[in-house]
Amino acid sequence: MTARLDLDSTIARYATAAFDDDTPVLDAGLESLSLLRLAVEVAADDDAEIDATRMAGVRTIGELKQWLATIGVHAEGSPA
Amino acid sequence: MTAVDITPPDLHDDEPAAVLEITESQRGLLVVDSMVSARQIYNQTMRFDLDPTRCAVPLDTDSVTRVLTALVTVQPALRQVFTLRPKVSARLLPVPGATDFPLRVHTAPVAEFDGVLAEIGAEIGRAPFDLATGPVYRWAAVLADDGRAASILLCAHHIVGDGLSMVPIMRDLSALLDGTLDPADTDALATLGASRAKGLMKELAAQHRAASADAITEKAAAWAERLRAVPPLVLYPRPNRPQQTDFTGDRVSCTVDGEFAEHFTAACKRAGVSPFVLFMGVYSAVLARHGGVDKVLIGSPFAARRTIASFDLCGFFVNTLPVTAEVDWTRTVDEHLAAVRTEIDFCRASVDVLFTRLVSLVQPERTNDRNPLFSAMLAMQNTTDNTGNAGTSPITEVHEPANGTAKFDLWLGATPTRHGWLLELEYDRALIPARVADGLLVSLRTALRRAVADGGLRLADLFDHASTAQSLRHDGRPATPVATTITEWFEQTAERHPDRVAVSDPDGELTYRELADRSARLATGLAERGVGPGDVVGLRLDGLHDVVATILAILRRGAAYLPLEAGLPVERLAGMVARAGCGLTVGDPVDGVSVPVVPVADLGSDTETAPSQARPDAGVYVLFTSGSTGNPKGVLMGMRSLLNLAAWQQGALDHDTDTRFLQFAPAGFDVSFQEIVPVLLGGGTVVSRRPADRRDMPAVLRRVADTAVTHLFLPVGALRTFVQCVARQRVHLPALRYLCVSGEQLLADAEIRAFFVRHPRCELVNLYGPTEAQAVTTHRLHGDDPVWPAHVPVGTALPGVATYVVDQTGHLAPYGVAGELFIGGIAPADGYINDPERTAAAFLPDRFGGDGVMYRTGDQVVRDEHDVLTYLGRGDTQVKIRGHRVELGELETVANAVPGVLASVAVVRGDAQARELVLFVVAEPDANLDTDGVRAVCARRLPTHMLPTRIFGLDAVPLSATGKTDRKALTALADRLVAEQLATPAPTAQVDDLTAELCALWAEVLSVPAVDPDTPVMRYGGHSLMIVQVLAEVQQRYQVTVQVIDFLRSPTVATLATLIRGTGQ
Repeated sequence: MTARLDLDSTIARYATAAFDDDTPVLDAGLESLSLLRLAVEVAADDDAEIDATRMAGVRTIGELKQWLATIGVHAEGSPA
Repeated sequence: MTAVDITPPDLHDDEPAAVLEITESQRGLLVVDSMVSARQIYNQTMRFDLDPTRCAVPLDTDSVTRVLTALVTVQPALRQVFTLRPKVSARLLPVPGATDFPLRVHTAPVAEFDGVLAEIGAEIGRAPFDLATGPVYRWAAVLADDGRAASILLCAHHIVGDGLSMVPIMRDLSALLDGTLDPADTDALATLGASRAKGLMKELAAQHRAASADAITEKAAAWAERLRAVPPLVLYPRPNRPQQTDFTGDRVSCTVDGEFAEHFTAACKRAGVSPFVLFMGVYSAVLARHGGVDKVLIGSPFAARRTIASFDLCGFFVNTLPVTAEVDWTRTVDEHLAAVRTEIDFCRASVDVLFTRLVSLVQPERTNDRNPLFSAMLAMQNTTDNTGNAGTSPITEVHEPANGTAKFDLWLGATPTRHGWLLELEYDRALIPARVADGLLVSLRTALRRAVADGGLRLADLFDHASTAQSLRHDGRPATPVATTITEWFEQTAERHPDRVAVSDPDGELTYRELADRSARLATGLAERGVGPGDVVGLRLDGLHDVVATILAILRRGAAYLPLEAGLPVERLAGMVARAGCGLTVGDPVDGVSVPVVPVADLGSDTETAPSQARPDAGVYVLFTSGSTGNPKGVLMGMRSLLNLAAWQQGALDHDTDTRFLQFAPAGFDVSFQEIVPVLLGGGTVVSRRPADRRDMPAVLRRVADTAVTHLFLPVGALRTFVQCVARQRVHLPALRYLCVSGEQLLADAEIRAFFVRHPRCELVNLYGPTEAQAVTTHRLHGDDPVWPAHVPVGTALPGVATYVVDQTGHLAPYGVAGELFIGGIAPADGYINDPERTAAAFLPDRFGGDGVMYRTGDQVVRDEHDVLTYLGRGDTQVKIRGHRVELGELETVANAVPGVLASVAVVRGDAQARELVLFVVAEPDANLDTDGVRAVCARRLPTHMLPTRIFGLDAVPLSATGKTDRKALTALADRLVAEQLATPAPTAQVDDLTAELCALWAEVLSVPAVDPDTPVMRYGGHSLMIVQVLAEVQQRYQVTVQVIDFLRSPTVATLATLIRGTGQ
């Protein structure tokens, strides 16, 4: 699993504004496409899957981290 | 090593399987590919502009071939080809060798580089791909001859690549060009290609797994239910809108840049939405305005990739889903955006529900080759970051050139640029003319600017009025009255042509001198009885001499005339007289109506002629029309408006001393004014239709031919019967110049056209106008016009008349946008007489720049790109029965007043001449339904055309989801009940051969299985025009002329048989 600190710095590379866990993702300059790219970057391995249907519920950076964390740990063939 | 030496990877060993199970979205595209005529609509072109100084490989043909071959090697999805049998699937083609490689290299002089690039960009996507044989991609390279500019273009069928595919393709191309990936290292490329092919298989498997999950079924069903409630979006609605097109497309565009781009970003922040949501929100409002709906479905691709590895792959993994946008014009921009965001989030959260699944659940009517769920699309073309490529990549910019097609009626592409956004509207040229597309772009640009500037703005205020110049455009014919009153103008004409014939009747002719003298004497008689300016005088006269002279006399007194027709029920006449404040009637007494009557013979006065009291602001006539509350409304038409019409008619219908206009219309129809007054102002002759009965078309035709009529004005419903009579009797009408029609929608068929082909000097003039404004627009057709629209437009306005088409947002509608017609300028009547309340509701202050009033017609129209108006229908329950205006509410109000009736609903069913009114009645709890009683009351209070042909009982009035009377359901019920009624076999009494033949003839004309000889044909939906048709046929078959009047006394087959025998003997 990607460490929390690492997640922040990874997110920071896609964000266009300063953020904390309560910042809405849009305010941090992240939209659905950057969220996908982030997911690809933090994923545990190539066979991990993204459940895009859950992405719609991601509103804040805190929720984003939770979602990314699930991708980071999921293994092949087990849809999130 | 050359490109030829690149060894394609061994598919059977390294690539996992030869057969790929394609996704549902890919299946969808296969279906489209087999359905449409223009298979290239799903060709997608990407153009990569290169910086040669950042390329590690030389940009020549060999090297570019090698690079692109390598790219095709490592992106296996590009190599897919498709088969439908034995199962729908794809397989991968091997990487082609250099000689087969689909690449064309163009070297251009620097000066011509941009031009060649644009040309290749447009051309590369034109030819369709064969999805079965492949390859389904092709490349082009455009190289400047000085080596300082180069671009690579890839055109591939959408089925092998989506928007997100651009990123891995760009990444691979970039790596191959800058040397990160060696295009000559075939082993490495083969290995990478094989692993990517495995990734492709895994992604496909993941897609199938996700799509078949159980939880989705319920979600999809609920969603489909919601989708069914959304009305179809029809941009530029019109009667002859093509069902299918060849998908030829064009684009118009605008940009969001500079300061506007900054404000755009700030607005996204303000509303807490992404650019996608903001564009979707504004676009949905534009579509709702232009489509005249309050809810729209907009298709948009949603990324549905599942495996992490798939993000390195080119492939078609999107799910295009319909975003539902409700457009409430009173909501603020930010409220709307919040709602749209929720809908988009819903789609994102439902991206596992496949489009094809939704389609199969919604089961939309599929009558064409368009997308079954949505006609408009929004695509965010932001997968590659065009704004930040200035770094080190050899690819400096990416573009997606159009290929001259349009997949949807309308498509909006939003592409980020260095300066902001490029917005492109791609439209199907067969559905949306350029002028209409320009209007869409103007709406989009205006709405976007305003939405960005002010989140508190009401949605309706996002838009502007279309140019008022459109509303004021007219047919360019002069309309200059030569006097300020009809009286003065007539006197001048009479003085000029004293001996010409003004009125021609079988009883005799009246010269202008005689008519002027007579009307002056009658006016003096009226003056002696106290009639003066502002009064209303009833007309209860028969002979045309009397009618014309009395009308002129009444106008000379500055009074208005009120026709009191013999066929109307007493109650209605009494109501009209009372409402109009009519203090005197000229002609026959009206039984049961208390109003002083003076016979025309007693009115003439030999005393000195009283001076004219006519004045420019006087009323001219009062005509009653159906009113929805049960009381007819008396329209008071004024002098200025009618003088304008009369003056226009002089030039537009060539009125002069040779004009012979048949007086056909009943006096209670405003058309009668046009047949009489303008003709007399021009020095022509008003020809009586007598002795022909109005319903006896063969007799009317004889009269037209015998009296060399030059002008004829028929109700729309009678035109076809007239031209049929002409054809059947082989009559030629060399004198006829103008055949005018009005009253309802004109449908021109081959028979009608044939008449005008055979009468090339005669023009068909379709006039439109409510009683409240008289004729306001016209559309003309000639026999030699190349195109005869089946649904004839109502045309272009008369001079001085403003035609305001007001769309849902309350603004003047742009070209191609349907709206309600408001009539302003000189045309509107003075109002409803003695009825300030209903006058105020229908005659509103002109808020579009005119200084008078505008009349709200309730008619839905659309102005086409040539400034021609087409009638689309009604926004309410007013219907037309053979040219007569009927407010269903008026019939219902009368029926509701019958004792024992709890409620009633009237509906109209049947087409054109077979249109009939059906009344449903709910009886009070303890009462028995007495349909005969209801019928009798209606007959006492309403004119014939407003009577229901059938009355059915009903337990309760069905209501729609919104709580309104469900007239649609009742119309369907009426259709069913009528069909049942007609299918019931008539009693099989013994009938003779003639009666049997006539029953069969009537059954055919009525489109019913059988007709009972003793049942009035009206019960089967028969009406006067059908009677005329049948009698014409009778004349043909039996050489017997049966008068319409005689038949109407007892309109049954038995009567007809008796009449035939009687006449025959």
